Amino acid sequence: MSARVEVRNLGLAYGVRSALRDVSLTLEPGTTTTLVGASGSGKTSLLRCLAGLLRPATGRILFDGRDVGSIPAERRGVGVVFQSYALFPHLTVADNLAFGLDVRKIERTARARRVAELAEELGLEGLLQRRPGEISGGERQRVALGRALAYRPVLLLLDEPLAALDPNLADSVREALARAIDAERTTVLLVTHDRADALRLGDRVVLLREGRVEQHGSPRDLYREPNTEYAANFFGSGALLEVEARAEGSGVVAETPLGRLVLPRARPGRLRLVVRPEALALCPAGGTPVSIRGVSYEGDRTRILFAAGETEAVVYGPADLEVKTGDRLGVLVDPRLVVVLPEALASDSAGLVRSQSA
Amino acid sequence: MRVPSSGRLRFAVAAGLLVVLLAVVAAPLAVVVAGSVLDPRFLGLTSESWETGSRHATWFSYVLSLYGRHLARSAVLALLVVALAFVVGAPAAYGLSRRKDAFARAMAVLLDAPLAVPGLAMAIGLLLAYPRARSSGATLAAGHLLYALPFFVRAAGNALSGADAAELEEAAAVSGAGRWQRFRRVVLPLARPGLLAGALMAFTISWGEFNVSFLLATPTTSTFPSALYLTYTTNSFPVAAAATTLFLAAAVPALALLQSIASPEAARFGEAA
Repeated sequence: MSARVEVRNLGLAYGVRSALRDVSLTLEPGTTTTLVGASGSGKTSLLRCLAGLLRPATGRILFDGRDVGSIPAERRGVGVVFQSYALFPHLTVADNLAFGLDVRKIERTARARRVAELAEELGLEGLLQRRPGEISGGERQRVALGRALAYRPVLLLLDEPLAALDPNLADSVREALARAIDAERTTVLLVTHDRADALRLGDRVVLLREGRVEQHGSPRDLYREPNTEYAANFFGSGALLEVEARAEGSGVVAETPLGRLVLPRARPGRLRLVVRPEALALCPAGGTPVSIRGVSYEGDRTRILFAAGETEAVVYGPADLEVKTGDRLGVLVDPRLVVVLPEALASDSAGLVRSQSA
Repeated sequence: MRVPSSGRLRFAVAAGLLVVLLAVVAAPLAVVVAGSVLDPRFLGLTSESWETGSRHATWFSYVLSLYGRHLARSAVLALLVVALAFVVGAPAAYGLSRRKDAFARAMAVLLDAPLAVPGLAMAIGLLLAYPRARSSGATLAAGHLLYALPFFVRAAGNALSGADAAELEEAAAVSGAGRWQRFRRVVLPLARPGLLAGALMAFTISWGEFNVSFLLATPTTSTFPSALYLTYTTNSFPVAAAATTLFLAAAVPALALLQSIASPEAARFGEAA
């Protein structure tokens, strides 16, 4: 059974960094939430609190409405995939998978059936009699996942499951991970520092900053409608523009160093805009004239840093583009892709009320 | 041109070290062992107790008739020290591997202190602190334990505090294992090579301990190394050689076993080894 997990006003003093401050969030049953943030933002601390490995100083954790604060790790029924996998080196793959069933005194045939099921689901059939020291990193990762899923946890916690894998391997493991999570339909919280993983693996995304929830919402919300400059830059940095917008006809118009923008989702007044590279296009004729400050070749595309007045921004061009620093170019802005930061910045850091409604 | 010459230099140094090792460690032992089985005149030695000894089938049976009781006592004492090291040292090693605070550091220093103090001083300290315990042999056992514990705790602690031992215990906890199951299914199997190595270490240290034993033992608790001293000072060479050989017969297998356990392969795979 997957649980509805509520975290209410959690606080943790734990050294200087990695503390948690008034963290509240809800994980709906059967959904996957990614917990993302810079290192030291408290991601792993929150995960350890949920697992019962750390005792929070303040606040409550509820599983289906029941306070689990006094329930030790071994009786929470939570599955954890540790960053280092933490497989038992003295046990075979099969015994690692069966560990949670063994300690629960699950009857032999049921245990064997579950191990076989997981082995098939995770492609571990040929490795059951090996020991963790004798299998590859990707295989270990899958064993760790299987061990955590074996006893059908009410909540599955994954701590940077892809961080230790090389990029090529990470792609295939990412798919296997998504498949297994779908098949098991449990509530999942996945900790990652990788922005792209946070957006593509989560139904919901929680962005932590210095122990607080900066924003909580769908991947699209966080990317397209960040509440703060920090959130906007975390998922995709761009040029920050401070502009005065006024109503004009049916829309809102702002004069910017990148040209005149008609903003579909904005109110008149002082606005802060984030212009990410994807909102910009090179324009051979016309567009806003800018001068190139730097060019770097990235294989499949060319990254161009340019300046328009005081403003510096980045635009990507085709790989075979022949430009150099000092050249002048025209750029166009797609106003639909410009991020408009909300005005109410003072209350932003609280992050709670808004994140529930987001 | 430089590579082969530095290779030759390295070979010369290695060969030199091997010769020194053989000369310092192996040669004296070989002479002693040979002396225990050969006619001493063979080695150019003469012996006054030759006549006494020749009534026995070998020098070994002669030594056993003289010091058999010491040998048995040493064995019992060494096993007792191993048992005590387990009772005191295993929890200590576990505690020190999990706690990293000032108290833990202070305990670690205290534990190692006997290694830096001359056995003489340790023995006198024990005698002054617990004068009544001497006749029972308790002071002797305590003296041995003080020397064996640092080694036992170190060996056991290495197995327990490997970077991921604490995390493995956490993994077991979240998987549903309670305290006892974590200990039985994870901590103990992982620590087994370390505990075994520690036990053998404690055994060999107690078996060979002389300084403290010589001062603390009474005629009824005196151990085999003290008996060795007596044979060296009072008996002839073949008797001392035979006694030494008997001593080595127990120590060398224990050391060899220790060496095989302490290999990194064994430490990694716990039960697999």
